[in-house]
Amino acid sequence: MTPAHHVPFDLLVERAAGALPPAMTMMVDAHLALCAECRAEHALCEAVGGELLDGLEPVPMADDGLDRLFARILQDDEGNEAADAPEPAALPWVDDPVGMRLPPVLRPVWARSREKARWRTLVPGVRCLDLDLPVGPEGSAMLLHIDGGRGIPRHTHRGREFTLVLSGAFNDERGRFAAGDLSITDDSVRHKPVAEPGEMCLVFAVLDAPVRLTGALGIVQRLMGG
Amino acid sequence: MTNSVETAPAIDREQLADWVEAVAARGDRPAFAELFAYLAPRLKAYLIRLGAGPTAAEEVVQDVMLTIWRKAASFDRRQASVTTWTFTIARNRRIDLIRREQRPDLDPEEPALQPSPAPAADRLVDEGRRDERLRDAIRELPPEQAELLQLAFYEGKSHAEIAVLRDIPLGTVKSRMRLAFNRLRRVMEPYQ
Ligand SMILES: [Zn+2]
Repeated sequence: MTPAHHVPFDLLVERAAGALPPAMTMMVDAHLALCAECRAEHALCEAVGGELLDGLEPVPMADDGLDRLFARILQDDEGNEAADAPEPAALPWVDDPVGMRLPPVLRPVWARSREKARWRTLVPGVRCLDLDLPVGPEGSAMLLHIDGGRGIPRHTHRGREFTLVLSGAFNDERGRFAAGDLSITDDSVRHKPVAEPGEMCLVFAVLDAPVRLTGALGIVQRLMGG
Repeated sequence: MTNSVETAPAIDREQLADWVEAVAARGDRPAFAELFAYLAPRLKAYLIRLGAGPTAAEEVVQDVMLTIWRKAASFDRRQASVTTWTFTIARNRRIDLIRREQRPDLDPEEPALQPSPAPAADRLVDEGRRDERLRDAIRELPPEQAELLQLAFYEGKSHAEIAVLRDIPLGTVKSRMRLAFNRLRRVMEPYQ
């Protein structure tokens, strides 16, 4: 199934060039895993990167560069034979209702994050897990689990909010967002997303700056650390 | 070992891919030495453009070339050229290093550091001509569009940073970038 809401082209270019912060890199990659259309566009961006690399004026390497590398390869080969560790017995995402719905790109960060933090209730019906990812000083990255019929109270953002739907769907004033869809809102958008009943609504959210609740539930903002 | 590769006017793309496949198939050291002679000095130039000192750049090039040696079997010439594949490895290595600075206990298996998903294998054919045409099309871009590509890819600048740097509106940066890629996409269409 093809997503309806895609990664904007400027983000694809920035991802391909390596200019995005880690959390955003991961978000674009998670969309690419679900979207052949953006994958093709991104491949073009990477091909441009490759051609530009090819066109650079070469800077000579140290004379012993290749010898040093062969020495390292030899050392590595010996080390690897000794350190062939057995696979961990069980992968933590196999039996977990959240883990099994994550694209592979998000699984390690999820597994690591849930050891450091707990799922906490944001508002009734909405729980979140802070992700252990480097974000800017004002930013945050989290997984949100929204029960059917529930949603985030109306809010705006000081910065931009990027939300990638991983499973299920939500609706807001702008339309429907289902698995693979990327929603981007900035401080001009005041919205109230509500999850559809049925399949678990799980989203990956990255915020440039804390959410600002605009309704009577402003107290909730404290819960979010804003 | 000769350095004839570097002085040749333009390298045969098929040749680069053949070398990677030889490394994958039988750990072919002479083939790898040829790859090193061609790719390492370009990678070093790329990293220096991104702000690395010569010594640091040399170390990262070593890492990238080691990855090429180890992951040669994952290279697929139908999906991407050797230089594109190499570019993605170097870019990911750079992201990896930036993240290590921010989070020293980084998981080395973090998938964000892995190559991004590849396009379907049946999409890209006639790879030699495809790369040549793309290279020519980049060369023929108007200077203001070519400059944007350089700032984005050689200097790792975001669109917003480019706008500040060049004192032009963000919208203009975005639309120029789009124009550039529209041209390149047209050139590449027959191969997709
Ligand atoms: Zn898409």
